[in-house]
Amino acid sequence: MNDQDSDFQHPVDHTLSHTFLNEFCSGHLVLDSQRKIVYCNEYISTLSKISQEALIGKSIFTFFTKASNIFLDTYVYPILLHEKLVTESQMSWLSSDGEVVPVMINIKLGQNGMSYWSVYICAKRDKLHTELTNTKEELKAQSENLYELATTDPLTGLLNRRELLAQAENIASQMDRNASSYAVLTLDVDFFKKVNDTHGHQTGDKELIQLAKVLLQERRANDLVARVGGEEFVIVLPDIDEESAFLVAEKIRINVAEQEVDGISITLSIGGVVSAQGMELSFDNLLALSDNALLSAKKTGRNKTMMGSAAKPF
Amino acid sequence: MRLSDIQLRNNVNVLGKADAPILMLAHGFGCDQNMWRFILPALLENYQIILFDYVGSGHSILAHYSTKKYAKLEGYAQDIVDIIDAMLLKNVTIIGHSVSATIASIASLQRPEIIEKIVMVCPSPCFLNRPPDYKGGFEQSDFDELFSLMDKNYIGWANYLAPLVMGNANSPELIGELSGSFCSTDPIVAKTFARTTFYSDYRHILPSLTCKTLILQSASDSLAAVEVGQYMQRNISNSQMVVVDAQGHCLHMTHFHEISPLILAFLE
Repeated sequence: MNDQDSDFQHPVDHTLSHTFLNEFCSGHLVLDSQRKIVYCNEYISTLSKISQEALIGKSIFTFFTKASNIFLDTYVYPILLHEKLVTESQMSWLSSDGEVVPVMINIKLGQNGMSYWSVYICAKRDKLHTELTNTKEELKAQSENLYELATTDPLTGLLNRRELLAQAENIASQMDRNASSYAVLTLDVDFFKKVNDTHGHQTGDKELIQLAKVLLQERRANDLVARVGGEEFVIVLPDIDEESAFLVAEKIRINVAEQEVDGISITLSIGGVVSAQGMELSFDNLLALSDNALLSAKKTGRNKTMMGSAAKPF
Repeated sequence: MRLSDIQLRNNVNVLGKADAPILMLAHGFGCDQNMWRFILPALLENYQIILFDYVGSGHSILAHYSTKKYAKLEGYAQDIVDIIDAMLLKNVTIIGHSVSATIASIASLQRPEIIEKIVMVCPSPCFLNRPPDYKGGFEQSDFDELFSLMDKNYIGWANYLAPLVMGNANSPELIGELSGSFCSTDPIVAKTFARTTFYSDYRHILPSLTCKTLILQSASDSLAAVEVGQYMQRNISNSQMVVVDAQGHCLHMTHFHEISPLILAFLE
Protein backbone atom coordinates (compact mmCIF):
# COMPACT_ATOMS: atom_id res chain seq x y z
CA MET A 1 0.00 0.00 0.00
CA ASN A 2 1.56 3.33 -0.97
CA ASP A 3 1.17 6.66 0.75
CA GLN A 4 -1.30 7.91 -1.78
CA ASP A 5 -3.70 5.02 -1.04
CA SER A 6 -3.59 5.38 2.76
CA ASP A 7 -4.28 9.10 2.62
CA PHE A 8 -7.19 8.73 0.26
CA GLN A 9 -10.50 9.80 1.76
CA HIS A 10 -13.73 8.55 0.16
CA PRO A 11 -16.24 11.30 -0.35
CA VAL A 12 -19.35 10.78 1.80
CA ASP A 13 -22.54 11.32 -0.09
CA HIS A 14 -25.49 10.76 2.26
CA THR A 15 -28.04 10.90 -0.52
CA LEU A 16 -26.09 8.30 -2.47
CA SER A 17 -25.74 6.05 0.63
CA HIS A 18 -29.44 6.29 1.25
CA THR A 19 -30.14 5.38 -2.38
CA PHE A 20 -27.80 2.40 -2.12
CA LEU A 21 -29.41 1.22 1.12
CA ASN A 22 -32.82 1.35 -0.55
CA GLU A 23 -31.57 -1.10 -3.17
CA PHE A 24 -30.75 -3.87 -0.67
CA CYS A 25 -32.92 -7.00 -0.53
CA SER A 26 -32.91 -6.80 3.25
CA GLY A 27 -34.39 -4.38 5.74
CA HIS A 28 -32.24 -1.98 7.73
CA LEU A 29 -33.55 -0.20 10.77
CA VAL A 30 -32.05 2.09 13.37
CA LEU A 31 -33.90 2.46 16.67
CA ASP A 32 -33.29 4.89 19.54
CA SER A 33 -33.15 3.83 23.18
CA GLN A 34 -36.96 4.14 23.41
CA ARG A 35 -37.14 1.54 20.62
CA LYS A 36 -38.55 4.06 18.17
CA ILE A 37 -37.53 4.10 14.52
CA VAL A 38 -35.03 6.82 13.58
CA TYR A 39 -34.07 5.34 10.20
CA CYS A 40 -35.30 2.63 7.88
CA ASN A 41 -34.71 1.68 4.27
CA GLU A 42 -37.20 0.97 1.49
CA TYR A 43 -37.39 -2.78 2.27
CA ILE A 44 -38.88 -1.99 5.72
CA SER A 45 -41.34 0.41 4.16
CA THR A 46 -42.50 -2.24 1.67
CA LEU A 47 -42.70 -4.84 4.44
CA SER A 48 -44.75 -2.53 6.67
CA LYS A 49 -46.82 -1.02 3.85
CA ILE A 50 -46.11 2.45 5.25
CA SER A 51 -43.92 5.16 3.70
CA GLN A 52 -40.39 5.59 5.02
CA GLU A 53 -41.21 9.09 6.32
CA ALA A 54 -44.30 7.87 8.20
CA LEU A 55 -42.30 5.10 9.87
CA ILE A 56 -39.95 7.51 11.62
CA GLY A 57 -40.82 7.84 15.31
CA LYS A 58 -42.98 4.72 15.45
CA SER A 59 -42.34 2.09 18.16
CA ILE A 60 -40.88 -1.18 16.88
CA PHE A 61 -43.49 -3.03 18.96
CA THR A 62 -46.15 -1.78 16.52
CA PHE A 63 -44.66 -4.01 13.84
CA PHE A 64 -44.68 -7.32 15.63
CA THR A 65 -47.51 -9.66 16.60
CA LYS A 66 -48.52 -10.04 20.25
CA ALA A 67 -46.59 -13.30 20.58
CA SER A 68 -43.52 -11.73 18.97
CA ASN A 69 -43.71 -8.85 21.42
CA ILE A 70 -43.68 -11.26 24.35
CA PHE A 71 -40.67 -12.85 22.70
CA LEU A 72 -39.03 -9.45 22.20
CA ASP A 73 -39.60 -8.56 25.86
CA THR A 74 -38.48 -11.80 27.40
CA TYR A 75 -35.83 -13.07 25.04
CA VAL A 76 -34.59 -10.72 22.34
CA TYR A 77 -34.13 -7.50 24.35
CA PRO A 78 -32.65 -9.17 27.42
CA ILE A 79 -30.11 -10.94 25.19
CA LEU A 80 -29.38 -7.71 23.32
CA LEU A 81 -28.77 -5.74 26.52
CA HIS A 82 -26.65 -8.51 27.95
CA GLU A 83 -24.66 -9.64 24.90
CA LYS A 84 -24.95 -6.44 22.79
CA LEU A 85 -25.79 -8.71 19.86
CA VAL A 86 -28.72 -10.88 18.81
CA THR A 87 -28.40 -13.14 15.79
CA GLU A 88 -30.84 -15.24 13.79
CA SER A 89 -33.96 -14.60 15.79
CA GLN A 90 -37.17 -15.39 13.99
CA MET A 91 -40.22 -13.21 14.64
CA SER A 92 -43.53 -12.38 12.98
CA TRP A 93 -43.68 -8.95 11.29
CA LEU A 94 -47.08 -7.27 11.29
CA SER A 95 -47.74 -4.95 8.37
CA SER A 96 -50.15 -2.02 8.61
CA ASP A 97 -52.92 -3.99 6.90
CA GLY A 98 -52.62 -6.92 9.33
CA GLU A 99 -50.58 -9.25 7.13
CA VAL A 100 -48.14 -11.40 9.15
CA VAL A 101 -44.79 -12.32 7.58
CA PRO A 102 -42.01 -14.42 9.14
CA VAL A 103 -38.76 -12.45 9.40
CA MET A 104 -35.25 -13.23 10.55
CA ILE A 105 -33.49 -10.49 12.50
CA ASN A 106 -29.97 -9.66 13.59
CA ILE A 107 -29.55 -6.75 16.01
CA LYS A 108 -26.48 -4.93 17.27
CA LEU A 109 -26.60 -2.62 20.27
CA GLY A 110 -24.70 0.63 19.70
CA GLN A 111 -23.93 3.74 21.75
CA ASN A 112 -26.61 5.49 23.84
CA GLY A 113 -29.05 2.61 23.53
CA MET A 114 -29.27 2.90 19.75
CA SER A 115 -29.85 -0.45 18.05
CA TYR A 116 -29.16 -1.50 14.46
CA TRP A 117 -31.47 -4.06 12.94
CA SER A 118 -31.13 -6.24 9.85
CA VAL A 119 -34.40 -7.83 8.82
CA TYR A 120 -35.29 -10.17 5.98
CA ILE A 121 -38.31 -12.25 5.06
CA CYS A 122 -37.79 -15.97 5.72
CA ALA A 123 -41.05 -17.48 4.44
CA LYS A 124 -39.38 -20.45 2.73
CA ARG A 125 -37.18 -21.25 5.72
CA ASP A 126 -40.25 -20.94 7.95
CA LYS A 127 -42.22 -23.38 5.79
CA LEU A 128 -39.36 -25.88 5.92
CA HIS A 129 -39.10 -25.40 9.68
CA THR A 130 -42.81 -25.97 10.17
CA GLU A 131 -42.59 -29.21 8.15
CA LEU A 132 -39.60 -30.36 10.21
CA THR A 133 -41.35 -29.51 13.48
CA ASN A 134 -44.47 -31.41 12.43
CA THR A 135 -42.36 -34.42 11.46
CA LYS A 136 -40.54 -34.24 14.78
CA GLU A 137 -43.86 -34.16 16.67
CA GLU A 138 -45.14 -37.17 14.70
CA LEU A 139 -41.97 -39.14 15.43
CA LYS A 140 -42.17 -38.18 19.10
CA ALA A 141 -45.77 -39.40 19.32
CA GLN A 142 -44.77 -42.66 17.60
CA SER A 143 -41.82 -43.08 19.92
CA GLU A 144 -44.01 -42.55 23.01
CA ASN A 145 -46.48 -45.04 21.63
CA LEU A 146 -43.71 -47.61 21.06
CA TYR A 147 -42.31 -46.97 24.54
CA GLU A 148 -45.72 -47.66 26.03
CA LEU A 149 -46.07 -50.84 23.98
CA ALA A 150 -42.61 -51.98 25.08
CA THR A 151 -43.11 -51.28 28.79
CA THR A 152 -46.72 -52.07 29.61
CA ASP A 153 -49.01 -55.07 29.60
CA PRO A 154 -51.64 -54.44 26.91
CA LEU A 155 -54.53 -56.08 28.78
CA THR A 156 -54.20 -54.30 32.14
CA GLY A 157 -52.00 -51.29 31.37
CA LEU A 158 -49.69 -52.31 34.25
CA LEU A 159 -45.91 -52.51 33.81
CA ASN A 160 -44.68 -55.63 32.05
CA ARG A 161 -41.96 -57.90 33.42
CA ARG A 162 -39.11 -56.23 31.53
CA GLU A 163 -40.00 -52.74 32.74
CA LEU A 164 -40.58 -54.00 36.27
CA LEU A 165 -37.07 -55.47 36.36
CA ALA A 166 -35.54 -52.24 35.04
CA GLN A 167 -37.38 -49.95 37.46
CA ALA A 168 -37.07 -52.29 40.43
CA GLU A 169 -33.27 -52.35 40.09
CA ASN A 170 -33.32 -48.55 40.44
CA ILE A 171 -35.45 -48.77 43.57
CA ALA A 172 -33.15 -51.46 44.98
CA SER A 173 -30.09 -49.22 44.49
CA GLN A 174 -31.86 -46.19 45.91
CA MET A 175 -33.00 -48.11 49.01
CA ASP A 176 -29.46 -49.39 49.46
CA ARG A 177 -28.06 -45.85 49.29
CA ASN A 178 -30.65 -44.56 51.75
CA ALA A 179 -30.20 -47.53 54.11
CA SER A 180 -33.93 -48.18 53.74
CA SER A 181 -35.83 -51.35 52.94
CA TYR A 182 -38.36 -52.27 50.26
CA ALA A 183 -40.87 -55.05 49.83
CA VAL A 184 -41.62 -57.38 46.92
CA LEU A 185 -45.10 -58.90 46.85
CA THR A 186 -45.96 -61.67 44.39
CA LEU A 187 -49.69 -62.20 43.82
CA ASP A 188 -51.35 -65.09 42.03
CA VAL A 189 -55.07 -65.61 41.30
CA ASP A 190 -56.32 -68.83 42.88
CA PHE A 191 -57.79 -71.41 40.49
CA PHE A 192 -57.64 -69.00 37.58
CA LYS A 193 -57.53 -71.81 35.04
CA LYS A 194 -60.93 -72.91 36.35
CA VAL A 195 -62.37 -69.41 35.76
CA ASN A 196 -61.13 -69.51 32.17
CA ASP A 197 -62.29 -73.08 31.58
CA THR A 198 -65.74 -72.57 33.12
CA HIS A 199 -66.62 -69.00 32.06
CA GLY A 200 -64.38 -68.42 29.07
CA HIS A 201 -61.27 -66.30 28.48
CA GLN A 202 -63.23 -63.09 28.10
CA THR A 203 -64.51 -63.39 31.66
CA GLY A 204 -61.00 -64.29 32.78
CA ASP A 205 -59.67 -61.15 31.13
CA LYS A 206 -62.33 -59.04 32.82
CA GLU A 207 -61.28 -60.47 36.19
CA LEU A 208 -57.65 -59.56 35.49
CA ILE A 209 -58.57 -56.03 34.44
CA GLN A 210 -60.63 -55.54 37.59
CA LEU A 211 -57.81 -56.93 39.71
CA ALA A 212 -55.38 -54.49 38.07
CA LYS A 213 -57.73 -51.62 38.97
CA VAL A 214 -57.74 -52.67 42.62
CA LEU A 215 -53.94 -52.90 42.65
CA LEU A 216 -53.61 -49.42 41.14
CA GLN A 217 -56.08 -47.99 43.65
CA GLU A 218 -54.17 -49.46 46.58
CA ARG A 219 -50.72 -48.45 45.46
CA ARG A 220 -48.75 -45.52 46.86
CA ALA A 221 -47.23 -42.93 44.51
CA ASN A 222 -43.83 -44.64 44.14
CA ASP A 223 -44.92 -48.29 44.20
CA LEU A 224 -44.42 -50.40 41.07
CA VAL A 225 -47.28 -52.63 39.95
CA ALA A 226 -46.67 -55.18 37.19
CA ARG A 227 -48.31 -58.13 35.50
CA VAL A 228 -45.51 -60.62 35.05
CA GLY A 229 -47.39 -63.67 33.77
CA GLY A 230 -50.90 -64.93 32.93
CA GLU A 231 -52.44 -64.44 36.36
CA GLU A 232 -49.32 -63.43 38.27
CA PHE A 233 -48.64 -59.92 39.49
CA VAL A 234 -45.76 -58.26 41.35
CA ILE A 235 -45.80 -55.12 43.50
CA VAL A 236 -42.61 -53.39 44.66
CA LEU A 237 -43.02 -51.07 47.64
CA PRO A 238 -40.12 -48.77 48.54
CA ASP A 239 -39.49 -47.47 52.09
CA ILE A 240 -41.56 -50.04 53.97
CA ASP A 241 -41.06 -52.54 56.80
CA GLU A 242 -42.30 -56.14 56.95
CA GLU A 243 -45.32 -55.43 59.14
CA SER A 244 -46.60 -52.65 56.87
CA ALA A 245 -45.94 -54.72 53.74
CA PHE A 246 -47.98 -57.57 55.22
CA LEU A 247 -50.84 -55.15 56.00
CA VAL A 248 -50.78 -53.79 52.42
CA ALA A 249 -50.88 -57.35 51.05
CA GLU A 250 -53.77 -58.33 53.33
CA LYS A 251 -55.73 -55.22 52.42
CA ILE A 252 -55.38 -56.09 48.74
CA ARG A 253 -56.28 -59.74 49.31
CA ILE A 254 -59.42 -58.91 51.32
CA ASN A 255 -60.44 -56.13 48.91
CA VAL A 256 -60.15 -58.46 45.89
CA ALA A 257 -62.07 -61.28 47.60
CA GLU A 258 -64.97 -58.89 48.26
CA GLN A 259 -65.33 -57.85 44.59
CA GLU A 260 -67.46 -59.55 41.98
CA VAL A 261 -67.23 -59.33 38.20
CA ASP A 262 -70.16 -60.86 36.30
CA GLY A 263 -71.15 -62.65 39.51
CA ILE A 264 -67.78 -64.30 39.96
CA SER A 265 -65.33 -63.46 42.72
CA ILE A 266 -61.71 -64.46 42.83
CA THR A 267 -59.18 -64.86 45.60
CA LEU A 268 -55.45 -64.23 45.75
CA SER A 269 -52.50 -66.00 47.26
CA ILE A 270 -49.73 -63.57 48.10
CA GLY A 271 -46.09 -64.11 48.94
CA GLY A 272 -43.93 -61.29 50.19
CA VAL A 273 -40.45 -60.45 51.33
CA VAL A 274 -38.75 -57.31 52.63
CA SER A 275 -35.12 -56.49 51.86
CA ALA A 276 -32.73 -56.68 54.78
CA GLN A 277 -29.70 -54.46 55.36
CA GLY A 278 -26.35 -56.09 54.86
CA MET A 279 -27.67 -59.13 52.98
CA GLU A 280 -26.71 -57.72 49.57
CA LEU A 281 -29.55 -59.53 47.83
CA SER A 282 -30.43 -58.36 44.33
CA PHE A 283 -33.99 -57.67 43.25
CA ASP A 284 -33.94 -61.01 41.40
CA ASN A 285 -33.05 -62.77 44.66
CA LEU A 286 -35.91 -61.04 46.49
CA LEU A 287 -38.31 -61.89 43.68
CA ALA A 288 -37.32 -65.57 44.00
CA LEU A 289 -37.81 -65.43 47.79
CA SER A 290 -41.19 -63.78 47.31
CA ASP A 291 -42.13 -66.51 44.81
CA ASN A 292 -41.18 -69.12 47.39
CA ALA A 293 -43.43 -67.44 49.94
CA LEU A 294 -46.25 -67.43 47.38
CA LEU A 295 -45.73 -71.14 46.78
CA SER A 296 -45.99 -71.70 50.51
CA ALA A 297 -49.27 -69.72 50.62
CA LYS A 298 -50.61 -71.87 47.80
CA LYS A 299 -49.56 -75.10 49.50
CA THR A 300 -51.11 -74.17 52.83
CA GLY A 301 -54.63 -73.43 51.63
CA ARG A 302 -54.57 -70.41 49.25
CA ASN A 303 -56.38 -67.05 49.78
CA LYS A 304 -53.71 -65.97 52.26
CA THR A 305 -50.53 -63.91 52.59
CA MET A 306 -47.22 -65.46 53.63
CA MET A 307 -44.11 -63.42 54.28
CA GLY A 308 -40.67 -64.90 53.65
CA SER A 309 -37.43 -63.63 55.12
CA ALA A 310 -34.52 -62.04 53.34
CA ALA A 311 -32.36 -62.41 56.42
CA LYS A 312 -32.90 -66.16 56.58
CA PRO A 313 -33.79 -67.36 53.11
CA PHE A 314 -37.14 -69.10 52.97
CA MET B 1 -39.78 -39.71 49.63
CA ARG B 2 -37.48 -38.80 52.44
CA LEU B 3 -36.76 -35.25 53.54
CA SER B 4 -33.24 -35.38 52.11
CA ASP B 5 -34.57 -36.66 48.76
CA ILE B 6 -37.16 -33.88 48.54
CA GLN B 7 -34.60 -31.25 49.53
CA LEU B 8 -32.29 -32.43 46.78
CA ARG B 9 -35.07 -32.91 44.25
CA ASN B 10 -36.40 -29.36 44.66
CA ASN B 11 -33.11 -27.70 45.65
CA VAL B 12 -34.68 -26.52 48.91
CA ASN B 13 -32.78 -23.82 50.78
CA VAL B 14 -33.72 -22.48 54.20
CA LEU B 15 -32.71 -18.95 55.14
CA GLY B 16 -33.63 -16.28 57.66
CA LYS B 17 -34.61 -16.54 61.29
CA ALA B 18 -35.02 -20.00 62.82
CA ASP B 19 -38.35 -20.63 64.58
CA ALA B 20 -39.85 -17.54 62.95
CA PRO B 21 -43.06 -17.70 60.85
CA ILE B 22 -42.52 -19.54 57.59
CA LEU B 23 -42.51 -17.95 54.16
CA MET B 24 -42.26 -20.19 51.10
CA LEU B 25 -41.24 -18.34 47.96
CA ALA B 26 -42.53 -19.97 44.77
CA HIS B 27 -40.99 -18.78 41.50
CA GLY B 28 -42.87 -18.41 38.22
CA PHE B 29 -42.42 -19.72 34.69
CA GLY B 30 -38.96 -19.34 33.21
CA CYS B 31 -37.42 -18.53 36.60
CA ASP B 32 -35.88 -20.20 39.60
CA GLN B 33 -35.41 -19.29 43.26
CA ASN B 34 -32.66 -16.88 42.27
CA MET B 35 -35.40 -14.45 41.22
CA TRP B 36 -36.21 -13.73 44.86
CA ARG B 37 -32.77 -12.34 45.66
CA PHE B 38 -33.83 -8.70 45.35
CA ILE B 39 -36.68 -8.91 47.86
CA LEU B 40 -35.03 -11.42 50.23
CA PRO B 41 -33.19 -8.92 52.45
CA ALA B 42 -36.49 -7.29 53.44
CA LEU B 43 -37.93 -10.64 54.54
CA LEU B 44 -34.97 -12.37 56.18
CA GLU B 45 -35.00 -10.53 59.47
CA ASN B 46 -38.36 -11.70 60.79
CA TYR B 47 -39.16 -14.81 58.81
CA GLN B 48 -37.85 -18.25 58.07
CA ILE B 49 -37.61 -18.42 54.29
CA ILE B 50 -38.03 -21.63 52.30
CA LEU B 51 -36.65 -21.30 48.79
CA PHE B 52 -37.04 -24.04 46.21
CA ASP B 53 -37.02 -24.77 42.49
CA TYR B 54 -39.84 -26.69 40.86
CA VAL B 55 -38.70 -29.98 39.34
CA GLY B 56 -37.30 -29.07 35.93
CA SER B 57 -36.30 -25.53 36.95
CA GLY B 58 -33.09 -24.10 38.39
CA HIS B 59 -30.96 -26.64 40.20
CA SER B 60 -33.70 -29.21 40.81
CA ILE B 61 -32.96 -32.83 39.90
CA LEU B 62 -34.13 -33.20 36.31
CA ALA B 63 -34.33 -37.00 36.63
CA HIS B 64 -37.53 -36.52 38.66
CA TYR B 65 -39.17 -34.63 35.81
CA SER B 66 -42.18 -36.25 34.20
CA THR B 67 -43.86 -34.60 31.22
CA LYS B 68 -47.13 -36.23 32.26
CA LYS B 69 -47.00 -35.09 35.90
CA TYR B 70 -45.96 -31.52 35.10
CA ALA B 71 -48.40 -31.11 32.23
CA LYS B 72 -50.85 -29.95 34.90
CA LEU B 73 -50.36 -27.31 37.58
CA GLU B 74 -51.37 -29.98 40.12
CA GLY B 75 -47.97 -31.58 39.41
CA TYR B 76 -46.20 -28.40 40.48
CA ALA B 77 -48.55 -28.00 43.48
CA GLN B 78 -47.48 -31.49 44.54
CA ASP B 79 -43.88 -30.23 44.74
CA ILE B 80 -45.02 -27.61 47.28
CA VAL B 81 -47.11 -30.17 49.22
CA ASP B 82 -44.19 -32.64 49.24
CA ILE B 83 -41.85 -29.99 50.69
CA ILE B 84 -44.41 -28.98 53.34
CA ASP B 85 -45.03 -32.61 54.31
CA ALA B 86 -41.38 -33.66 54.32
CA MET B 87 -40.28 -30.65 56.37
CA LEU B 88 -43.34 -30.91 58.65
CA LEU B 89 -44.04 -27.21 58.09
CA LYS B 90 -46.91 -25.47 59.89
CA ASN B 91 -48.54 -22.04 59.56
CA VAL B 92 -47.12 -21.43 56.12
CA THR B 93 -47.42 -18.32 53.97
CA ILE B 94 -46.61 -18.74 50.29
CA ILE B 95 -45.51 -15.86 48.09
CA GLY B 96 -46.17 -16.98 44.53
CA HIS B 97 -45.17 -15.14 41.40
CA SER B 98 -47.41 -15.28 38.33
CA VAL B 99 -48.49 -18.88 37.67
CA SER B 100 -47.18 -19.83 41.11
CA ALA B 101 -50.02 -17.85 42.68
CA THR B 102 -52.33 -20.42 41.08
CA ILE B 103 -50.02 -23.31 42.00
CA ALA B 104 -49.98 -22.08 45.63
CA SER B 105 -53.80 -21.88 45.55
CA ILE B 106 -54.04 -25.51 44.39
CA ALA B 107 -51.60 -26.54 47.15
CA SER B 108 -53.64 -24.61 49.73
CA LEU B 109 -56.74 -26.62 48.80
CA GLN B 110 -54.75 -29.78 49.51
CA ARG B 111 -53.30 -28.49 52.80
CA PRO B 112 -55.84 -25.90 53.98
CA GLU B 113 -54.89 -26.38 57.62
CA ILE B 114 -51.24 -25.58 56.93
CA ILE B 115 -51.18 -22.91 54.21
CA GLU B 116 -52.65 -19.89 55.99
CA LYS B 117 -51.85 -17.01 53.66
CA ILE B 118 -50.93 -16.45 50.04
CA VAL B 119 -49.29 -13.37 48.54
CA MET B 120 -49.92 -13.33 44.80
CA VAL B 121 -47.44 -11.29 42.74
CA CYS B 122 -48.86 -10.49 39.26
CA PRO B 123 -51.19 -13.51 39.26
CA SER B 124 -53.53 -14.75 36.57
CA PRO B 125 -55.79 -17.79 36.95
CA CYS B 126 -56.25 -17.90 33.16
CA PHE B 127 -54.22 -16.07 30.53
CA LEU B 128 -56.76 -16.76 27.78
CA ASN B 129 -59.79 -14.65 26.92
CA ARG B 130 -62.98 -16.50 27.84
CA PRO B 131 -65.80 -14.47 26.33
CA PRO B 132 -68.12 -12.95 27.22
CA ASP B 133 -67.10 -12.30 30.82
CA TYR B 134 -63.38 -12.86 31.18
CA LYS B 135 -60.44 -11.21 29.50
CA GLY B 136 -57.22 -13.02 30.29
CA GLY B 137 -55.50 -10.93 27.63
CA PHE B 138 -54.65 -13.51 24.98
CA GLU B 139 -56.25 -15.62 22.31
CA GLN B 140 -55.27 -19.24 21.85
CA SER B 141 -53.65 -18.25 18.55
CA ASP B 142 -51.32 -15.80 20.35
CA PHE B 143 -49.87 -18.60 22.44
CA ASP B 144 -49.83 -21.05 19.52
CA GLU B 145 -47.59 -18.54 17.78
CA LEU B 146 -45.46 -17.99 20.88
CA PHE B 147 -44.75 -21.71 21.14
CA SER B 148 -44.02 -21.84 17.45
CA LEU B 149 -41.50 -19.01 17.94
CA MET B 150 -39.94 -20.92 20.82
CA ASP B 151 -39.50 -23.87 18.46
CA LYS B 152 -38.10 -21.72 15.69
CA ASN B 153 -35.58 -20.03 17.95
CA TYR B 154 -34.84 -23.30 19.67
CA ILE B 155 -31.04 -23.17 19.79
CA GLY B 156 -30.74 -19.73 21.31
CA TRP B 157 -33.81 -20.10 23.42
CA ALA B 158 -32.58 -23.34 24.96
CA ASN B 159 -29.54 -21.54 26.28
CA TYR B 160 -31.26 -18.52 27.77
CA LEU B 161 -34.68 -17.82 29.07
CA ALA B 162 -35.21 -14.52 30.79
CA PRO B 163 -37.98 -14.20 33.33
CA LEU B 164 -41.15 -12.69 31.94
CA VAL B 165 -40.10 -9.46 33.47
CA MET B 166 -39.61 -6.53 31.22
CA GLY B 167 -42.00 -3.64 31.16
CA ASN B 168 -41.18 -1.44 28.19
CA ALA B 169 -40.80 1.62 30.35
CA ASN B 170 -38.31 0.07 32.76
CA SER B 171 -34.93 1.73 32.43
CA PRO B 172 -32.27 0.05 30.27
CA GLU B 173 -29.98 -0.02 33.33
CA LEU B 174 -32.54 -1.96 35.32
CA ILE B 175 -33.30 -4.27 32.43
CA GLY B 176 -29.56 -4.75 31.90
CA GLU B 177 -29.14 -5.79 35.53
CA LEU B 178 -32.14 -8.09 35.47
CA SER B 179 -30.96 -9.55 32.22
CA GLY B 180 -28.19 -11.15 34.24
CA SER B 181 -30.98 -13.25 35.73
CA PHE B 182 -31.19 -15.60 32.80
CA CYS B 183 -32.14 -19.12 33.60
CA SER B 184 -30.55 -21.80 31.56
CA THR B 185 -33.53 -23.99 30.99
CA ASP B 186 -34.11 -27.40 29.53
CA PRO B 187 -36.22 -26.55 26.46
CA ILE B 188 -38.59 -29.51 26.79
CA VAL B 189 -39.28 -28.64 30.40
CA ALA B 190 -39.66 -24.94 29.63
CA LYS B 191 -42.04 -25.62 26.78
CA THR B 192 -44.18 -27.96 28.88
CA PHE B 193 -44.22 -25.42 31.73
CA ALA B 194 -45.14 -22.67 29.27
CA ARG B 195 -48.01 -24.70 27.82
CA THR B 196 -49.25 -25.64 31.29
CA THR B 197 -49.02 -22.00 32.37
CA PHE B 198 -50.59 -20.29 29.41
CA TYR B 199 -53.29 -22.75 28.35
CA SER B 200 -54.69 -23.59 31.78
CA ASP B 201 -57.82 -22.17 33.34
CA TYR B 202 -58.08 -22.41 37.12
CA ARG B 203 -60.71 -19.71 37.67
CA HIS B 204 -63.03 -22.36 39.12
CA ILE B 205 -60.87 -22.92 42.22
CA LEU B 206 -60.88 -19.27 43.33
CA PRO B 207 -64.21 -19.40 45.25
CA SER B 208 -62.94 -22.44 47.21
CA LEU B 209 -59.90 -20.61 48.60
CA THR B 210 -60.22 -19.92 52.29
CA CYS B 211 -56.78 -18.58 53.17
CA LYS B 212 -56.10 -14.87 53.53
CA THR B 213 -54.85 -13.56 50.21
CA LEU B 214 -53.00 -10.44 49.08
CA ILE B 215 -53.07 -9.72 45.34
CA LEU B 216 -50.32 -7.42 44.04
CA GLN B 217 -50.93 -6.34 40.48
CA SER B 218 -48.82 -4.13 38.26
CA ALA B 219 -50.55 -1.07 36.75
CA SER B 220 -49.23 -2.06 33.34
CA ASP B 221 -48.44 -5.71 32.77
CA SER B 222 -48.80 -7.23 29.31
CA LEU B 223 -49.35 -10.69 30.83
CA ALA B 224 -51.69 -9.99 33.75
CA ALA B 225 -53.87 -6.90 33.53
CA VAL B 226 -55.35 -5.05 36.50
CA GLU B 227 -58.78 -6.39 35.48
CA VAL B 228 -57.49 -9.94 36.00
CA GLY B 229 -56.49 -9.01 39.55
CA GLN B 230 -59.90 -7.44 40.14
CA TYR B 231 -61.58 -10.60 38.87
CA MET B 232 -59.53 -12.64 41.35
CA GLN B 233 -60.35 -10.33 44.23
CA ARG B 234 -64.05 -10.61 43.47
CA ASN B 235 -63.84 -14.40 43.45
CA ILE B 236 -61.54 -15.05 46.43
CA SER B 237 -63.53 -14.36 49.57
CA ASN B 238 -60.78 -13.40 51.99
CA SER B 239 -58.69 -11.27 49.64
CA GLN B 240 -57.37 -7.75 49.23
CA MET B 241 -55.70 -6.19 46.22
CA VAL B 242 -53.13 -3.48 45.70
CA VAL B 243 -52.27 -2.06 42.27
CA VAL B 244 -48.63 -1.02 42.19
CA ASP B 245 -47.77 1.91 39.93
CA ALA B 246 -45.33 -0.03 37.81
CA GLN B 247 -44.73 -1.65 34.45
CA GLY B 248 -43.85 -5.27 33.92
CA HIS B 249 -44.66 -8.70 35.25
CA CYS B 250 -42.01 -9.16 37.96
CA LEU B 251 -42.71 -6.66 40.73
CA HIS B 252 -40.57 -8.70 43.14
CA MET B 253 -37.58 -7.91 40.94
CA THR B 254 -38.29 -4.47 39.52
CA HIS B 255 -40.26 -2.90 42.39
CA PHE B 256 -39.22 -4.82 45.49
CA HIS B 257 -38.81 -1.58 47.47
CA GLU B 258 -42.48 -0.78 46.85
CA ILE B 259 -43.97 -4.22 47.46
CA SER B 260 -41.96 -5.46 50.46
CA PRO B 261 -43.68 -3.06 52.93
CA LEU B 262 -47.06 -4.15 51.53
CA ILE B 263 -46.15 -7.80 52.05
CA LEU B 264 -44.80 -7.22 55.56
CA ALA B 265 -47.93 -5.26 56.57
CA PHE B 266 -50.14 -8.06 55.23
CA LEU B 267 -48.18 -10.70 57.14
CA GLU B 268 -48.47 -8.97 60.51
